[in-house]
Amino acid sequence: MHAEHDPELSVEQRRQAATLRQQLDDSTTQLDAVSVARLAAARRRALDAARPRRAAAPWWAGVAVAASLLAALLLRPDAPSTTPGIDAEGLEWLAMVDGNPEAYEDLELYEALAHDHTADTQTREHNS
Amino acid sequence: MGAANDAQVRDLDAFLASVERRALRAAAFAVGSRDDALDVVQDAMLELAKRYAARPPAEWPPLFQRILDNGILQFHRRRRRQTRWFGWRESDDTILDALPDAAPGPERQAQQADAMTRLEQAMRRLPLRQQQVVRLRVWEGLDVADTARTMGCGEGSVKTHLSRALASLRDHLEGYV
Repeated sequence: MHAEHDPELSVEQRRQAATLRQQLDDSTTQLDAVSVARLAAARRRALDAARPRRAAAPWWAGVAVAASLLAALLLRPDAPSTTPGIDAEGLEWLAMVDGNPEAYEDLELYEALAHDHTADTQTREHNS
Repeated sequence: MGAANDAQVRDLDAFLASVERRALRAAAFAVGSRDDALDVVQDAMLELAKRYAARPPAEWPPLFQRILDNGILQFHRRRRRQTRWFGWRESDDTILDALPDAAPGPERQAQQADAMTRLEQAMRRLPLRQQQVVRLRVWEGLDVADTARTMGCGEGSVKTHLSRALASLRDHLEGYV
């Protein structure tokens, strides 16, 4: 409740408060364009700060991925590849490291193609 | 504390748009410079958005005023420290340096400028606590209880500060208020 409506104030004080509020309101209409623009920019920055952000991955997630990748390279150097020229597991690791979920879809497609390729090769070898 | 959803961000946008000009004027009365006032208001907006955007909108007005008050008090503390060590250099950038958006006739413009100058001078003469109570009770329309919480004092003090502020403004703005 504005002071101008406060029954505890005298009539004179309420009248004074009403006049004062009107004058203060009038003063806000006389702001220059630069101030108005800067206020709008400040508001945009504040709203950006209020919006949710994607949580950053914890530091140990990167370490875990790197360690797993290293382990895969060191412990299974001769792991059989399901596809000629590329290791499917390597592709999966790349997808994880890259953080790109679409790479998983690519992996499935790649594996399907590799399976077809292996089947074709076996068929050709069998026929010959 | 917490991130706000889209609806809360829209509400916050509307709230800040509704108070930003009054906040700038009030901060300018308190700190004496448009640029400093803009900094204070911007910091207050950011703090409200970062810390309280997810709170119910009804809680924002007193929270924002309290943050704004803290910003003004911090500004004066910093200025006192600077004055103590480096001497005080009066800023020549006042809120009245700003040109109005609309361009009324020269006579009306002169009257408005005169009224604004007197109002600004009278407001600046008030102690900070009285400026606060005028802003909160007269301008922002907070009730006595919310004003007391925002100012961190009792309701009796709010009434006393307002009564003194109105008396002082009446003396300095004779014929205007």
